[in-house]
Amino acid sequence: MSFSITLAPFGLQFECAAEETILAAALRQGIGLRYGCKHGACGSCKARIVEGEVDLAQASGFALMGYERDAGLALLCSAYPLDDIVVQLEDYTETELHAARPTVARTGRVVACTPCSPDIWQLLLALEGGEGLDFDAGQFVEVNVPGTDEWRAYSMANAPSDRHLIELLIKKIPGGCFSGLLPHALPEGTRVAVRGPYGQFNVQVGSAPIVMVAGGSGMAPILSMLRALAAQACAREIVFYYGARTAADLICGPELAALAAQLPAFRYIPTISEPMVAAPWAGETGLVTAALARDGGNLRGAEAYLCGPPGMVDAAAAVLKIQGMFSSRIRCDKFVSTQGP
Amino acid sequence: MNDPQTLAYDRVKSIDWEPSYIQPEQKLVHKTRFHLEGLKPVDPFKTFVRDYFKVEHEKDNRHYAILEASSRLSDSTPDARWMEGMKFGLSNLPGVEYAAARQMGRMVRSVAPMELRQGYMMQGLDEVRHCQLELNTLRHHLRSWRDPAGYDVALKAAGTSVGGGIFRAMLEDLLTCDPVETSLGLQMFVETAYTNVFFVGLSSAAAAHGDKMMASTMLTIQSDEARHMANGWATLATLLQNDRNIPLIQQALDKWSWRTHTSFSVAVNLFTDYFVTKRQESAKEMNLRWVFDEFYGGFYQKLEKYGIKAPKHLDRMISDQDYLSHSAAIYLFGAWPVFFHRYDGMTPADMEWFEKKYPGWYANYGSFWEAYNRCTDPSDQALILKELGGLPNFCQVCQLPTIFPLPGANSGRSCLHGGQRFIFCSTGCQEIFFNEPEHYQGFQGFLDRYEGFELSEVTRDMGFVREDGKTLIAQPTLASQRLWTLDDIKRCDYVVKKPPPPPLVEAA
Repeated sequence: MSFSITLAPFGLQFECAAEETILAAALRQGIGLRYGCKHGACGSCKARIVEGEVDLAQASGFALMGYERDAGLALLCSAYPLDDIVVQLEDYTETELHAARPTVARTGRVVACTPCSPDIWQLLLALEGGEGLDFDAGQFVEVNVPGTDEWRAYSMANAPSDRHLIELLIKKIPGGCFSGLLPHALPEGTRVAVRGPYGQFNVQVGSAPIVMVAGGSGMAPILSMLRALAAQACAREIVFYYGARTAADLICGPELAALAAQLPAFRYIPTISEPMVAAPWAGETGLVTAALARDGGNLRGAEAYLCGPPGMVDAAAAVLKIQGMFSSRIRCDKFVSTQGP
Repeated sequence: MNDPQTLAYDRVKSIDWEPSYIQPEQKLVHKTRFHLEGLKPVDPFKTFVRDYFKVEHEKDNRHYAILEASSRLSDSTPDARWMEGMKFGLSNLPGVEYAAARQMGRMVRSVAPMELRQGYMMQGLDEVRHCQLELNTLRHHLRSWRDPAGYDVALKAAGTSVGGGIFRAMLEDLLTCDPVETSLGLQMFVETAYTNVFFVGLSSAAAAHGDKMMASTMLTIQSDEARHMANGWATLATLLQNDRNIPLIQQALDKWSWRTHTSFSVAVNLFTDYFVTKRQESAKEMNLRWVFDEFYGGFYQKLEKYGIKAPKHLDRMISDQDYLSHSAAIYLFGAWPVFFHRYDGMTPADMEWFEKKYPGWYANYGSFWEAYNRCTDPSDQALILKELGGLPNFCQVCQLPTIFPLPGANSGRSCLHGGQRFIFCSTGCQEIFFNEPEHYQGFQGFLDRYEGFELSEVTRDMGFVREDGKTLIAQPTLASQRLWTLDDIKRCDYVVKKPPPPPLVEAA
């Protein structure tokens, strides 16, 4: 059974099955609704339902307050249609709605699983079936936890031109539903269901200088962006601040050195917050945001890409605004825990 | 998409015709330097005239019901500082709307694509409605405010006062520049960039000060503004399809970002900070959030891929937020006898707020306010304008006095053109002048008209005198002490004199 969803004021219509969310149906059909966490926690996909009923069972009470529900607001990532639906969109353009890549389902085969640091692993999946996956640098996929209905989201670290491969950088969390399987429970040859691409964290076309800030496995989408920019022989000024705890936690060093050779105006500034006497370190120390603030300068015409834990992303955004950067120029990908707040 | 609304709308648009007795280009009254031929216009919205009138009629009904109820019940007294300030503030608005209506008519007759003409036509009708709403607000205030003097001359004053000259210069520029440039200036800057500080900021100030009429007027006007922004975007999106337009767009955006900053924005900042008693956010806070972070941040990011750069003077526009309203206030309060409302000088509580919102304010402006508050009683024969050393120079382009960012450290300069000396407030206005000198060089300002006049003669000539023929409409305070008369001004003996011109700089 399926229902018809109409996006007002554009009159754009699409079909949505009773067992899929309005957001999932839109993305599957290449309609670019905005979203963040995709599981009812962040509120990025909030919109008003002006006609028809939806089931909002999974939406968090924090992301969608009771009074908002009463006022007809819904989180589209958690809204299952019970009727034909009309959604009233605010502040969208028709062009934007038509710009999304349709999401697809693929199967990946584990080719390698190698440690990058004490707790971050690189997982390489080769896509089967020959169709590959089209995505934009900065986007993510969801991988299925084998044998369950659980899915976990990770950003691609490879360049979009490697369309038959998926490279993920995964932080191993003890007991983590997917990361906990690394490396032994995901031996070479394991088949993993993958769906995507998702996410609207991508490099804007333009000429503005770029500031990138990442922490931990937030390296992945940034690495993908840098690889894509290198492939375009991008001459834009790029500074990448990467924060880690110790020197051993600084990942992807050789990859970044190779990119530096291809990008004429690229600077990489690794920062460690816990330097150790045993391992002398000549680079920046302290929080990555402090390194960003020390560099100073007028960033009014620049843009930023931030990826990492919410605390780091918010702190970096605050520093950038003090340096004159406009809010709309600051794009970020926060890790929102699947467990909810 | 095949919905009936779209099909019907497309059918309506196809009702255009090829002229048989004139050349097609003769259908257009003004030529534009922009390249619009062969472009596929972006349709800003799909509205039928029939539906348009239904909606606007309903809006008018709701608003005039408030007007009616408010004049019958008169349930509260509005704030005097605000209501007096509105004599000057509101005086400028009907002219702005009327000029906008004229501009839309000109654009309809000068821009070929049907999709854009339809949008301009509806905006033209909106602007007439807005003009009428503001005229009715003036009339309502004239009948209900305890001191109506000033509201009676407001419309004439918009054409003669030195404050209104800033608006007039902007409107005349909009009306006489390239018709496509008008769209970018009016719809992108005045109506999009500054829409929130004007409509949200000032309408909530009006409501907070008991001026329900003005609050309702602004809200019903604002409900049409989305259409005007859409017109601007549609025009710009159409122009961007042809690369030959890019340098022309850049020049128009550079001009109007600065032009709006030195006119509309000065006025909005002034009213937000100096005509209120119930203080909320400062003009600087609202501008930094809405105009700069939201509008400028997003707008130029979208245009970057076309090679369009942020305006050259953006940093100055942002740093000016520390000074704009305060320097403008010195001028407006300093020149009070040639205005037409009662002023309310800043109190210690105001000054405390200013110092909190604008650290360093007192060091720059405190001495002016101490002096102003000493010059309010006519029996002291002390005129603040004279204490200040007389009127400043005015900018040939924007008509602002050359006192920005700070009176003592301003960016005023003179340049020679065709053997004549012209004065500008800033590099921005100097550049605008030299891009089209013929557009600005003939403008005559206050000093050209009144040099050599004793000040009371200026006030009399402008007609800013009360019914008794001798008391000024303008007064430096709200207090009901003895009011200043023309004789009081005359005794202070100030003769209008052009100050020495600012330093000469190279024209280029």
